[in-house]
Amino acid sequence: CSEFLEEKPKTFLSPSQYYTSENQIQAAVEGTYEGLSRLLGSDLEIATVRLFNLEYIVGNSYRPRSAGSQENQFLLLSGMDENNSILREMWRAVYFPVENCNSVIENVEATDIINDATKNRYLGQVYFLRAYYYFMGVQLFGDIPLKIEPTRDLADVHIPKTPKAEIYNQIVSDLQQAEASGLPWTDDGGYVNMGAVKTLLAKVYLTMAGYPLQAGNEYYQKAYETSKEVIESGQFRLFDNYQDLRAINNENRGEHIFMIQREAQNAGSPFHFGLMPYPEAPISVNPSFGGGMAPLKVFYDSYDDGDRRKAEQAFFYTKRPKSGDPSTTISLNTPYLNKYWDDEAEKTSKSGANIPIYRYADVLLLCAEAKALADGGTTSDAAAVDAYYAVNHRAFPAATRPSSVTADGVLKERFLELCFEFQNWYDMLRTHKTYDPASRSIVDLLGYKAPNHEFPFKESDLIFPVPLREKELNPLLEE
Amino acid sequence: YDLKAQKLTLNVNQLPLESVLREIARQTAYDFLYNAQQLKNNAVPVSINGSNIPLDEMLVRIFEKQPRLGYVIDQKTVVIKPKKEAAQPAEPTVVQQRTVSGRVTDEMGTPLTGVSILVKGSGRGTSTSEAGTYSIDVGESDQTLVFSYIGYAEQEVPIAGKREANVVLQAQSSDLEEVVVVGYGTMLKQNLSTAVSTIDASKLTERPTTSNVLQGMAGKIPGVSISLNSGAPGGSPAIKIRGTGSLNSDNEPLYVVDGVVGVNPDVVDPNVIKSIDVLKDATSSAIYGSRGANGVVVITTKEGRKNGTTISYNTAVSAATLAREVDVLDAYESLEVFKRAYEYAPGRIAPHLDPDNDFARKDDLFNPDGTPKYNTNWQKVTTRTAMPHQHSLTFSGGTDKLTVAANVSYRDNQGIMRNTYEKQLNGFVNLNWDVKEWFHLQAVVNLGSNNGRNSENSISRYMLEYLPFLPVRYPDGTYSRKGDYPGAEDAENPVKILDQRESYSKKQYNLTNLIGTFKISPKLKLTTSFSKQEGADMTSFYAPSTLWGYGSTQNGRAERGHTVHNSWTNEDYLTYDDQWGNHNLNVVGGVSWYYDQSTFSNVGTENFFDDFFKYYNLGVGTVRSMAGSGYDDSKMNSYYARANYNYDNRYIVGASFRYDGSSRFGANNKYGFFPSFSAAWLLSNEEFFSSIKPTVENLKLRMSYGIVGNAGIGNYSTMARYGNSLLPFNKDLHTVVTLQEMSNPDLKWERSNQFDAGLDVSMFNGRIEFVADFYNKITSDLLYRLQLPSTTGYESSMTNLGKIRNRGLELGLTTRNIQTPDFLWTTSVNYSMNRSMVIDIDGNIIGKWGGRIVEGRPLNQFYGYVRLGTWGVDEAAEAAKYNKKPGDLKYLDRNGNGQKDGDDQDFLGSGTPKFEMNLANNISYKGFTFLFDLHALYGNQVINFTRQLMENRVTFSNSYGGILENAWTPDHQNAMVASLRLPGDGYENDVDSHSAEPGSFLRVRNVGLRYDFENDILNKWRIQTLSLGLNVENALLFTKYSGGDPEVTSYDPVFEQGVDFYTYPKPRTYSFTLGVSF
Repeated sequence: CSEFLEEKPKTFLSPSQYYTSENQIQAAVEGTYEGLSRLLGSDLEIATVRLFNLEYIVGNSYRPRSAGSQENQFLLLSGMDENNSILREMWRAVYFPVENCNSVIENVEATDIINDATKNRYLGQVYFLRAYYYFMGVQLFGDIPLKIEPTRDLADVHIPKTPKAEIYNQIVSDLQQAEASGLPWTDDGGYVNMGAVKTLLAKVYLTMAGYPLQAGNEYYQKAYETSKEVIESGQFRLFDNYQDLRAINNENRGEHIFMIQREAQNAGSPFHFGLMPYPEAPISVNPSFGGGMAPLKVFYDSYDDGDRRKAEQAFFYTKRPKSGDPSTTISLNTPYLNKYWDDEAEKTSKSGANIPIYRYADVLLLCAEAKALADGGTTSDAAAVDAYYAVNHRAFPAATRPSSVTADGVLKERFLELCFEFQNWYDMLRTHKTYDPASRSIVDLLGYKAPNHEFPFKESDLIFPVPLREKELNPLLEE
Repeated sequence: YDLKAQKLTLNVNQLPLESVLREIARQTAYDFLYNAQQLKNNAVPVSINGSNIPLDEMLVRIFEKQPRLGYVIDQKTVVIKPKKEAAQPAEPTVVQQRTVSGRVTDEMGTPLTGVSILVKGSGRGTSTSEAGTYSIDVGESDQTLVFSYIGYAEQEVPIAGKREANVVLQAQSSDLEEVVVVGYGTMLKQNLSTAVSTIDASKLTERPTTSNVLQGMAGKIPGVSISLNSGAPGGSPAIKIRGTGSLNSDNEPLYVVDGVVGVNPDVVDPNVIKSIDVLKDATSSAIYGSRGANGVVVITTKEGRKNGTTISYNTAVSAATLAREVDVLDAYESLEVFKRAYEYAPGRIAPHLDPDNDFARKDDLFNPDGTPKYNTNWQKVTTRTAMPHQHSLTFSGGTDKLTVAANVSYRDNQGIMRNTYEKQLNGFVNLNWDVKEWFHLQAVVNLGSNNGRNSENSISRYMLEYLPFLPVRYPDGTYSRKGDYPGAEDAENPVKILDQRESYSKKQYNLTNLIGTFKISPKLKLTTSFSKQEGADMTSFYAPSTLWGYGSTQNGRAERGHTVHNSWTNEDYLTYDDQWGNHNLNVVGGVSWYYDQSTFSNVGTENFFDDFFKYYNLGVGTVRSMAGSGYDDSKMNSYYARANYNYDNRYIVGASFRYDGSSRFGANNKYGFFPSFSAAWLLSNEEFFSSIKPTVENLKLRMSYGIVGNAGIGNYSTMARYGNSLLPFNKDLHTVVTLQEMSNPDLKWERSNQFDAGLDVSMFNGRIEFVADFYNKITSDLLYRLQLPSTTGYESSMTNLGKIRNRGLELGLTTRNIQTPDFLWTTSVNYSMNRSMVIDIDGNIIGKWGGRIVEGRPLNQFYGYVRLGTWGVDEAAEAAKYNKKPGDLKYLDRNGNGQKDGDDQDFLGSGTPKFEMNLANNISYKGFTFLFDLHALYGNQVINFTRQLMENRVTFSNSYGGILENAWTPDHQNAMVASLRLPGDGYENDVDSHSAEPGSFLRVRNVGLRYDFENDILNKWRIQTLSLGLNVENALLFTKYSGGDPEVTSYDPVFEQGVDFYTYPKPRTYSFTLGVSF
């Protein structure tokens, strides 16, 4: 009888059958990348992408199509309800991937069916990704639970918050493991590479030096040195034209250090469509699902007229050929974002374009800003100035190399160069400064009312509340 | 061939007369008619030995030793009567003046065979023939005939001056002789010590629009709550027996059809059902062990008629329309809302009023002055007058040793939404064969297919939210789309969706059951059964390229799904019956094996160059969008035993045990043990009761206590598993592996301990019958998919968690208020109340949609913010603290921390009623029968999220009526609805106290009138019975609820009963019925 009652599933694998071949190890390692696209999911309303909320809260964009009530809290800065389910999705986008990393690290470290060099390269990727996920979590939510061991007992699931300094230390430690793992500088397949590891480490140092920890000037210096390693590797370059950033052939190379990998048939995210005009304009075979996010006119206008980034179809577009009839041009009365425009999707209505996570311009600006901050706000360090100038020069071909750069000047360039790449909110959290498009200058964040916000920033807006549901499931999360 | 010369063999010693008679009936073609009570009181035990003795001699030998009882043989019936009344052979001295003849039928018009007819005061009698006819010679002084029949109320009919007397006997539903089907056997209701309720066929189908077993059961049994939560055709109602006992969503009772355990009741046609017995307490259901935790519904199908043939045909042809429209804005009101919403911010102007806004359809929709050209009632245009109809043809007949019932039925259940339907064709055969004296074989075959075209939730939504100033189609023939008005949330036209979106589901099912009964000895028999169930479900879907949001981006989207279920059961059990002196013992013991397997596959493709192919040729689509398959199996192995002991029909005790093994649990806990005990005391059979007995013929006290288990979890629930998904690396798809479930080898059976105390009373010769039950049910080790903090990396884990309690009271009262030969008025009323309490869930808070489960609270509690109203102009400063402005919603800040946060939420009422009542009346006068059936729920709340969403998101969509008056304006500050604004201006959309509405209702569930034709007309046409009827289902609804219907859930009926989120509306159905038999 006991044999009759035995369960033998045929549709899934169990841990007892796993880590017995390299193919299995590879599939598990690749599973840790799954978290990168978690926030590309959408909610109830048309044209929502959860990731957009990290731009809404910056305040320089709006939703042409009306928002749902939860997005309004990001769009209008009207106070974040801990019940807001988008917050929970952000929280989950940290911890589900982290647990996958925890499990893979433990199992791959224990295995002996692959050689050490292969093992290290696998582990390096996973260490990087765990650091990446935690970095997102600690920046958005501050003190959060730190968990680097796989869950073993479901009776013991209540984990208290850890001071954010410890989280940062763990992130640095993971990234140092990744640095030592022998990963190549670049990777055409889209896997984690040394460029991504160093870029993230530089970002982490810069953030630690900034408001979250105020860990001291030496961290600005570390950020500078680490980003300089990326530059000095000679593996990356700025594309000449902004249009090249969107070219399918340029994915995972050149300026693109690390990207979210996507593929048209299985992408499923409304990312491309959500950025299209609303009310709909016939510029795509499928123009119907737009209006998720668009830059405010005031932000667009804050670019100098000579800035090549403002040129038509660089970062923005205000007109486009009619779909199926390129000879007719459809003009729009307001700018839309061109950074993620997918020429293929315009014809096939399926977008599989990768989405950049780190690009070289980010590293260059980071290098310049870190050095300026390390040097007290201004630097004439050649590498730092060169780095800034490379980015600025692409926008203004006529510009001459300055002899020094200021931290605020670089930060402004970050807003102009990296707008709508989901980086600026982190810059604001780390510097407590933001870019005011009306005055075209860097201003203090607290007390500043962004163009699309109804209320000025206050201290409590800078840390998202721990999602209510998580607090209910783990009462230790209540302060 | 003289029947009376049939020979038989008896070897009995001190056996009760009743048992001897049963044995004779088994060995011969004779039936016995007697009043069991009379028999018990007057019979002396029988001792007799003899082989091959002719029947008449045997009867003489038995009855010469019975001092108080005699008998009379009429055709094939032996009527037992007290000796002083026993019929002597017809006395020649009686002057025969005339003959009275006629027919005896039941309430449904079916002829009754073997009805005993006695001439009152004379002792002479006869019984009815196969066709239900009789004729009897009466003398001048004879005034009255007395008709009696087992299971029916005795009836006296005056015959003075009459030559014909046709009689309709009324079923006596709680007659003490009623046989109740319990697990693995039957029992006399009188001998039951547990809580079992029975519905017979006539009650199940008295509302002719019930095409589903559960629908037919609604309101018939106290403690069994059946909610018809949607009007979708083919939708199966939600059933709860004695509250929600389990935290996982499997709270369905177990269905047993002719001994086959685990049948989907939807595939059983109500027309083939003889009776339904609901085992409610733990002791009655414990014989089914782990599978009976939520009660057991035992369905017994009709058997063929012995020695005769009946062909009957029943049909109902109906017209169904939308029962209640929701009050939404018309075109003018809706545009006024838009105007005000745009004017919320200075300088903004609604598109239709803005001369600078030349949106594409402006001139098609609006006159130059901004007034609308159309005013469409979308609830009207998406619905229709549906014409459902159903037909059932039954053949019943057989010989002495072989009977067959065969039925074929068809129903076309049209939905009130355009193009929705469900059609079912069902065939059924039940064959009973006395193959040998020692071997009986029963074979049941039920098979059929079901086809449906479905709607989807969003259509129920669009029919309310679509803008009334849009036409269904423009004059050029194109359909409107909601986005034709700028700023409205774009949505496809619901009429177009209903017409063009094709979603079909098709089911094929068959059930075969062979039951062999071996009579090993007069006391011992072995039953062995083997049953097989198979089912195939197929879904086909096509969204054409013309349908925006469905197939437009994909350029046509086709999907097909195919699921095959297979299961078999083997049951083997021994039944031992013994009687000695005043002792009666019945013992059952057996073993069962169960295996269930299902596989599925689904495929989908997109991008069709032509919409012609639909789902018929998936290969035409160039994009492979879906491919999947799966496999599941589960197994059970059980051992069970039950003993019932009855002393002198006064004291009854019973016990049952089941040892159940399920493949779903971990190795350590595969088997569970479930015992139960019961006792009853028949006070009315006590000596001291004899003075009351003429009034109260039956009074029984019952008590039971038992433990039942639950394994209602998915397969492989205790196993750790990895999940697969596809991720691209440089556009190359890889299968990647992620964590999905942790293992839980210690998971064990959920256990439900239930105490039941009951009382059965029958008074005034069955004119008043009353049943009461109190129960206290505590479920512990609840199987629950516990949500885990995300830090674990897992969503949830199946676990055993805490305790919940359900307590309740069930009352059932049936009265025959007026009973004369021509007039009968019966009333049955039942009352159920259930109180649940979460005793312990380990401190967890279990979130449900709009509600939550926490310790110290009942289940089904709604939970959300408390809406105080709106911020007034003079509260602007206070409002600003909350980042709010005058006209915004104002919520109670319960924790006073100056912001709206989770702690401000509170309990908003319960989705469970304080009580439920059902009242059914049947009034018959001559051939006419009038029926009305009422259903009431009291004290529950409904979360009308439909209204809340429509009020909050004005300009996304149409809104509830009254919003123009109810919304905040500077002149109307004391409002419950925020000032009208665009959604982008900020709004709040949480479940709150404003969306909780009282859900009490009183429904006239059914009103009907039927006419049964008189025999003299029928005889001319050679028809046995003929009836015509008219019926209205869902006739009237009295409620304060503002939505379509307060009996509703759009989610899980177990924990989210009463959450209304755009559900398929309910019809009111008018039916014409015809029943005829030959």
